[in-house]
Amino acid sequence: MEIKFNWIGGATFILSIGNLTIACDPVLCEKGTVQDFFWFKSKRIEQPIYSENDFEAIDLWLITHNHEDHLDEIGMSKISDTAEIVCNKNSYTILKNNKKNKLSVLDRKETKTFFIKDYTIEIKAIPAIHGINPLSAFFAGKVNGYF
Amino acid sequence: MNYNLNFFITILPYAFALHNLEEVISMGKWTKSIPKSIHQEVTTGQFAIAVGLFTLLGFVVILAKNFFPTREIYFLFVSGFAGMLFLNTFFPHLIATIYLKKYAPGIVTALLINLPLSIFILNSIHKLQILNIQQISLSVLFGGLIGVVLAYLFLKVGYFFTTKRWK
Repeated sequence: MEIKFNWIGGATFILSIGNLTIACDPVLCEKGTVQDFFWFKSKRIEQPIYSENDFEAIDLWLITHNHEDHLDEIGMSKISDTAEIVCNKNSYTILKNNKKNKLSVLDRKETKTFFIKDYTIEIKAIPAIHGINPLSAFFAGKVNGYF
Repeated sequence: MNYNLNFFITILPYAFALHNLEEVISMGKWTKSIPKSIHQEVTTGQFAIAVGLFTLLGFVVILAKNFFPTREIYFLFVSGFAGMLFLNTFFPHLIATIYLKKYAPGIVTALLINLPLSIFILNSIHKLQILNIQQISLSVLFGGLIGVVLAYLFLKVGYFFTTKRWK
């Protein structure tokens, strides 16, 4: 079975295991984009590298949280309506508002099993720290990691 | 007069803190609304960290009175601090307000509190012959220069703690 890992940039990657495709946090804004969170700023310093069809066949999306440097407008448009989506609580609303229906909200330490194609996949949400230092991590709040 | 001077020196860092608070409230929005050539854009968090450090330093200078080697050195620092607030009223607050024809964060407390307070302190130090006019002038000048350098450094610290650069 072939395993491929394609890092797009930032927190965005596509993991292909055989014909199963899992992707994480679609953030595809241009290099130089600044997201202003009032207290904090986030600046992209490299261009994301991807082709338009990279996201066509994603079976499962993992969304860590709803900040724009992890889930932006361009990225949102790449999530197909047929894909399963695992997200944390605070990203649920924005995904729902964008008509993404196959949503599974996982709180930290919760697990969910998916049966996609011929695969059985168990996804566990694990505590993750988001921020460049403890202060920004505190303000950024709880985000999910996935195992 | 001396009693008054000590009192007003004691409230100097509190006035500075109040002034910084006024700045923090709208600085983030204000820097977005003006040309970048006038002031680089800062986030509220970045600016809050910078002025927080500045405020802390102001309290340390005034509260550490008994740790200065001589009374004269202490008053040189006080003059520098008061001088920095005096100059700061004009650069950038008053000039920015006049040039941009709109409210500049900190202008109210700078004009109503910092300016009269710093003038009173500097004048009292001169009148009481604690320092001569040359010493006061140099302190004010150095206070202003050090203020600019510290503002730059503290904004860098604020930037470090509040700006994520990612690939």
